[in-house]
Amino acid sequence: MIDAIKVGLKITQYRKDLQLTQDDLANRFNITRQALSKWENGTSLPSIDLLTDLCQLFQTNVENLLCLNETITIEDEHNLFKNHSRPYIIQKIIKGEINVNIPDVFYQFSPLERMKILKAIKEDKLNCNLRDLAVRLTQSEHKYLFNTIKRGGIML
Amino acid sequence: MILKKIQVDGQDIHVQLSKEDAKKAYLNQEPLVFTDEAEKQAFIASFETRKEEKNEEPRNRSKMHKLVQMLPFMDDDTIHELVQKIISDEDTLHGMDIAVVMPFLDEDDATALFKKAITGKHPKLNPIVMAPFVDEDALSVVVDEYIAGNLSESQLDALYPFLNEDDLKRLFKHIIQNE
Repeated sequence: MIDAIKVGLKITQYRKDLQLTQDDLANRFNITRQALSKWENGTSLPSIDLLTDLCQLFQTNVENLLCLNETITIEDEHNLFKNHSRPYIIQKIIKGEINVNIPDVFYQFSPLERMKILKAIKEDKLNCNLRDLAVRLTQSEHKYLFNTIKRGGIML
Repeated sequence: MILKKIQVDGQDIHVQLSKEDAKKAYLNQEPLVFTDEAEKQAFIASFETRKEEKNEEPRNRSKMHKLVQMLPFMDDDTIHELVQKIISDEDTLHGMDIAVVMPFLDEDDATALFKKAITGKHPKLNPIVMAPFVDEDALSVVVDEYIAGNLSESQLDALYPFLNEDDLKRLFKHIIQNE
């Protein structure tokens, strides 16, 4: 999976190295400045066609521009998504490539992200302290993970 | 023609109403006069249709809402059965957001559903919505389908961010070779 925010930061850096404004670069590729801005803030990624054109302009390869061979480091566990795209971080956590204490960071996930994490735990792809996690789950999440219903702190 | 009775200087007179005004007056339960019986039937029927439409929507939403709430409590076999129904019958998906179901599917079901979507054999399944919930390795099918010429550039543009590194390298190698 591609970390769109990291790619955006890289595009910004390359653009600045060439001393181009967003308008300059947008005009060069015949796109709007808003579209370029979306790439740079990680909201979207360039199309495949434009990616190869960007690589030519920046004199780099696709692997480098898409940050494919880079390792990830989390600077602040309580701000997991800083400078990274959310799906990318979730994917890396599930794959065990980011080492975080799941119960401690669980509050940062959206309902769908929580389900993805719980699914990985249920399928034994991800390990964490289940006792710590249990108290942070909603009733339906609890039922999904443990197949028991949580009522007032008592597990049935 | 639709008329409404009003009083001016103590005298009853009938004024003609536009359809919009007539609808408002009807909803306010004001008495209306129709000069043509067929027009009256058509006018009243339009409200009956509206009522049916209004009633139908919450029923679907409620069914969908119930299903979403039930998902965590369904056993694997029931969910598998649901996936099989979605794969075989397009109407099963009526009004259902597939992204809500995806986290509950096991790897095989998610992959099967995604393959069905990517091959375009199920017009209501959107592979772009499903991709975040499919195992990265199973997404190799995206590159396979693109190389085979079965996937459009626009679909690929939306799906490539989810591919793993090996598939991305394979994809760009193919693109560069064919340039």
